[in-house]
Amino acid sequence: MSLKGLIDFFSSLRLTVVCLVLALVLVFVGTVAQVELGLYQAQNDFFRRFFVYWAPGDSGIRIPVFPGGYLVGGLLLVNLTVVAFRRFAFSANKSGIWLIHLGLILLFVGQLLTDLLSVESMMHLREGETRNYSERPREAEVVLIERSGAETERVIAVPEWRLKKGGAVPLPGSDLTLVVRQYFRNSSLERLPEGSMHPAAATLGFGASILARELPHVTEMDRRDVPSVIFELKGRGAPEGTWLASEYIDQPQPVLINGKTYELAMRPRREYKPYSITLLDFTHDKYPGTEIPRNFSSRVRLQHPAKGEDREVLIYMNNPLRYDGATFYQASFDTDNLGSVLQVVRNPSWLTPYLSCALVSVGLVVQFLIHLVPFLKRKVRP
Amino acid sequence: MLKTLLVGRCLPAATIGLLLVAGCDRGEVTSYDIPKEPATGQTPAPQGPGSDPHTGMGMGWPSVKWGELPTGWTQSPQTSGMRLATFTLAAPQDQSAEMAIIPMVGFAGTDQQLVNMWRSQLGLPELEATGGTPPERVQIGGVEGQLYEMSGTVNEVATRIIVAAANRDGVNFFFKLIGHDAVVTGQKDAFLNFLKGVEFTAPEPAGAPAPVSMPPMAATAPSDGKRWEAPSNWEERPATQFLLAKYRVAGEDGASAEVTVSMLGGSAGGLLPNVNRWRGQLNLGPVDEAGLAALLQDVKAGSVEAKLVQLEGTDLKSGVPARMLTVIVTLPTETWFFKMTGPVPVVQAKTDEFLAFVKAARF
Repeated sequence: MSLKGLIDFFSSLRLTVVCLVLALVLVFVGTVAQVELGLYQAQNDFFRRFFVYWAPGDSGIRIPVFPGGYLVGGLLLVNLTVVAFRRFAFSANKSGIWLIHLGLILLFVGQLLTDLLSVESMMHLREGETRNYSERPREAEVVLIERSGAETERVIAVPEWRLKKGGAVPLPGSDLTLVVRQYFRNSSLERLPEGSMHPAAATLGFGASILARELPHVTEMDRRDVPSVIFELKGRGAPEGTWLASEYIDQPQPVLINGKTYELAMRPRREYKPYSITLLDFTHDKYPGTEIPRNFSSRVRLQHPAKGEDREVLIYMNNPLRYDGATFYQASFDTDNLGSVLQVVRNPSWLTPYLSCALVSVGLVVQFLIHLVPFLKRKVRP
Repeated sequence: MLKTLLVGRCLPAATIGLLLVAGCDRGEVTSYDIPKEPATGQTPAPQGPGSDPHTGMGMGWPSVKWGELPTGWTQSPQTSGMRLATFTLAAPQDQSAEMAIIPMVGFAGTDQQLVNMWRSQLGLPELEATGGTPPERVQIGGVEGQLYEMSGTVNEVATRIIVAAANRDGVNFFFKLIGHDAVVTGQKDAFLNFLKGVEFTAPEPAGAPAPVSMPPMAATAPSDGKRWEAPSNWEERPATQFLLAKYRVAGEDGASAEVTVSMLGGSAGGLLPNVNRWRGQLNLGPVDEAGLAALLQDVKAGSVEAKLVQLEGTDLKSGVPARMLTVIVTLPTETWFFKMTGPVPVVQAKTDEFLAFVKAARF
């Protein structure tokens, strides 16, 4: 296809209509699919893909059957851009049209950036507790912590995606290598029955007394996978054998290597921040005489030593704290009302929807005025 | 020209750029230093999505019950992971303490490693193998356990840890009291009284679902009758869900060994993982396939060929030198295990008796 043919194709109104119809179908089917798949799986399978795949049985084959969100959105973005440049001249009387198109393009690009770059995590605080990190509830990490320092502790963290990939993982800051033997996306642990001849999950540490089994991937909104991994630590002085790390094991396992005691654990992936948040008070208001919630609020203390900041902030429904590129929303709370859960969202492109809406609005007004003013002038002319 | 430039070059470049940033926040393997964290332990799991991974572990292990809590103790509404329960203790303003019950299914380390782990939480130097005073004895629900106590600082705050540990049905239960030194010291008597009042409950024998990958287990002897006859001087013990037979074999000076018979479907998970697990129970390192081949001896079990594995090391539970003989009988659809474990002198003295017992089995 020649360049002209390509431009004709991408600037075609038919392409717009086809993409909009495909988007309509995709949104409908993707929304219905949430009943079976849950929100996260449906988002991944229908919208964060170039194609929607069908996998017949256990064949392991994936056949693309429908365009996914990235493809439909990408085509619409290209279509919109090419149309704007091809059909509209850079002139004053088309400025409104340009602003509208720029606003729509910004909306598409901004949403793609949000999808690619935004990160959600949670910060769970009990009253009086201070934290300088948030946790990603659906991602885990294996950590080796060395606590011999007087003021600090050294953490080596291996994210879950790297464990899933398998193979050898050199651990930075040490001469150790973690070699993945088995990774379970979702798992359950059981005590190895006395006298059982079934092999334990690992040969060292707690895993030597535990049976680990793989569970199906969980897609419901109110449940999540609990990953486990069996691995070896290789390196000078590392004990020979396999270890089991799992989010189920909330007690660190001591690992003795070259006279140093490391603590081994699997935990939700952490994001450390240069500032800390202390929960001073959590309030759960109810309508008088009822159990109907009226308001949830967290009074927190924000301390950023490097900036010399130390202030109190009240976070409540629809009134998040925006600080240092992150937004802290009131998300949940403990059953005893003495703890609060803040959702921490880092979205570098959070302003783009506002900007695009403003551009489209201004563009519509400008284009309307461009037509209205000459019309009125003609009308008042005798 | 401008249009051509924008449409022909900038747009593809921008599209490729956007695609390239996909997945850029996966996070890499990192190493970093952080300020020491306060040893406040776990907090109750929150309400809301993603907070309750599974409804239970299905471990089928013994548990702990307790009666009335000491004054000022409140149980946190939910626990997480393997923690059985967490209690928050009343404390003055700006101070805190908590007590957690942590069942741990066996521990392939030493007491010293545990103590050093707790010491490191308090910023204390590690103890050498011979260092430190032996733990005190303490009564935990009618079981004799060990009591460890240490104090140090966490973030310049005087902090104390008291841990009571007891083993019940192969599960190590840790009762860990941690918090501000003054609070923990003031609560020690209440803690010890609480320990006396707890009650260990027996595991539910058939409560835990079998792992998906586990071959079917035989809970009874084959229909064609018992395949073995135990010597009359062996004391028969109650069989369990996983054992077809269990005997106590008395040695000299009151010492005794244990003989078990079990059967699993298929290859029972493979010989090498089983042998390495047994080696782990005797504090021996794992072997590879070549090492395994060197360990195997040919013996007869009834009319079929079988393999004998002899291991000698230190029993992780009792800490005494121990010996383990296992005869593995591999049949087309099942694998049988005859196992004798006990102190070295007893097993050595009873080896011939055990092998004769296996040889007389009917296969």
